[in-house]
Amino acid sequence: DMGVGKSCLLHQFTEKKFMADCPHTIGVEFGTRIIEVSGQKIKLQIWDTAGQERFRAVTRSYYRGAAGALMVYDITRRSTYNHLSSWLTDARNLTNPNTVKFSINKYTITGEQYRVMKEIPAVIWSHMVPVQVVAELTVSTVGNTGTSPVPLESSTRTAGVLSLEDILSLGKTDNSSDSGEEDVIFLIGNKGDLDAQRDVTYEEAKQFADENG
Amino acid sequence: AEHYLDNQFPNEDWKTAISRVFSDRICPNDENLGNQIVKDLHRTGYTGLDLGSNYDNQIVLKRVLLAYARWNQSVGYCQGFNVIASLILHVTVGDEIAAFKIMVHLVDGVLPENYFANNLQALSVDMAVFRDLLRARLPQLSKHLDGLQKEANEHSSSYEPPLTNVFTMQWFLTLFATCLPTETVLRIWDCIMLDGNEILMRVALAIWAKLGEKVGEAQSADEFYCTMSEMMQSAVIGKLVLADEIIRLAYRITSFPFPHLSQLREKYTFNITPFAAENSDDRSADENQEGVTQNTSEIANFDDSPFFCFPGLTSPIPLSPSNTKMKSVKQQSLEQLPNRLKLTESQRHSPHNSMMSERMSTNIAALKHQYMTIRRRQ
Repeated sequence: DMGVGKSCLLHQFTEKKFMADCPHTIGVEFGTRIIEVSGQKIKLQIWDTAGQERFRAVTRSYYRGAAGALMVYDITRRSTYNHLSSWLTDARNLTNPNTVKFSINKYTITGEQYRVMKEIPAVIWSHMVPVQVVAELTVSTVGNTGTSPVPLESSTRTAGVLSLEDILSLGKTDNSSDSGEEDVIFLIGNKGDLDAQRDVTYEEAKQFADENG
Repeated sequence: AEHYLDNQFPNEDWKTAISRVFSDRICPNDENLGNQIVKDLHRTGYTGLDLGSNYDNQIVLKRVLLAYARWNQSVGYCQGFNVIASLILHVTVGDEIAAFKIMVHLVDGVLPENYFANNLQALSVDMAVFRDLLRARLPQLSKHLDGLQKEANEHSSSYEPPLTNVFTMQWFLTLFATCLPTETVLRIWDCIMLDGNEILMRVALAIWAKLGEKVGEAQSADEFYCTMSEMMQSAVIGKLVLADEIIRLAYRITSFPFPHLSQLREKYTFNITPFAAENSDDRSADENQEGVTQNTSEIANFDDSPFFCFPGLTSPIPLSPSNTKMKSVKQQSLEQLPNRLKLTESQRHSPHNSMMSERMSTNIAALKHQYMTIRRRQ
């Protein structure tokens, strides 16, 4: 949905910088980055789509042929979580049918955080960068072999270098041991820094992910 | 804008209407609209103007957007309006009522209906129409891009939408506000208000003509997107295209009104069904032609289409090559190309379609002349 932080995630991933007041996407935008996975360089092409409902018809064609997808919701807005199933339907209908999904909930800092922080005097704000956030990361993969949870250490990260690539490389590594041709869909619960305003619990999101493979 | 509003809504009491749409009282739909608008307010900023960062400006922007959404509830708020409205507010120096009126004029009057509503259907149509115009006016570039798209589709199981779509979508939706420097954008907007929405097509063609050479070097779809993203970054700060040049070219492309534009729009309006997932609007050009045969009959039934009113007048008008000297092959000059739409591959194969193209080449001026003659006789 709109305003969950899709473009912000993409910007962090491609530019390795946190972007406050990240402009919303009009239609679709293109991002690219080369990552290294087990010594191999892989170029990732990422399509970032507009979140507003009416754009769906024009952005849909960019799902087709995707090797994977990130579905992002805002943990502080239940409505964005409730819409996940309809986005998932679109993603399923338009991507490779034999799809394996990874589900990940990850906490990141986004524009919302910045907005909140802007109300803090500038001096203090400048001392608060980089913001320390604890990333909770749990990965569960469901393939032919069944569920094999991969526990990750809770780690301390700084805003702006939240490593989406970790997620992606995990996906790639695990996938390579399988047939390697399947699509992957990630679930990202964004704005984890706003935990106090949390509207969707980690557990239920995980359940949603598990139920949908 | 005032003129448009008075003509279009002669019975509307504007004072009341204005106070209604700007009212502080909360309307039933406001919560949802307000949420969407507020989500976008702080991320309206783009190069040149930074209205998004100023709190007071954001409040005015919100009021204008909400006023428009209340005024035209079938359109409501569409992402991109914030960009348009903030630029209008910049011009009106914060006068929200003037900005609202201009917004109504622009969205309801000047731009095609459903550009921002109804799944952005008219925008999808224009994206398809534009590909046809590109094919006719810049055949080399168009062919190159189609080639890259085809190659990308063959190379993997993936599907590559037409390469120009990403850009035309954004250009048309924000009327170039996010891709060119503000001064250039404002000049283009003047042209749009004076000479109609076909300026969008003309300017987009002019931009592609400028980008053509560099884009022509791209060897893959991926390379194309990367090159484009670099070029668009320099375009927005005014380093790629000069306002004078773009506007001059846009006006020189062809006569007004843009030949066949309304016919093409009509054709794709029937052809495109953005609602069904399978029938995505982004089918390749060849696929797009499949539906034409059945649709021509539909279009032919349209009484108000001047184009089919005089079946006797279907002979193509000889072209007038105004300028015959060629510059370079790469720098295909738009105005040098024939005024006539080139037939696409599949159109050539289909007798029905080729007939349609013949008809399309009929000079509108000739039709007008014929029409006047008939009226005189009546």
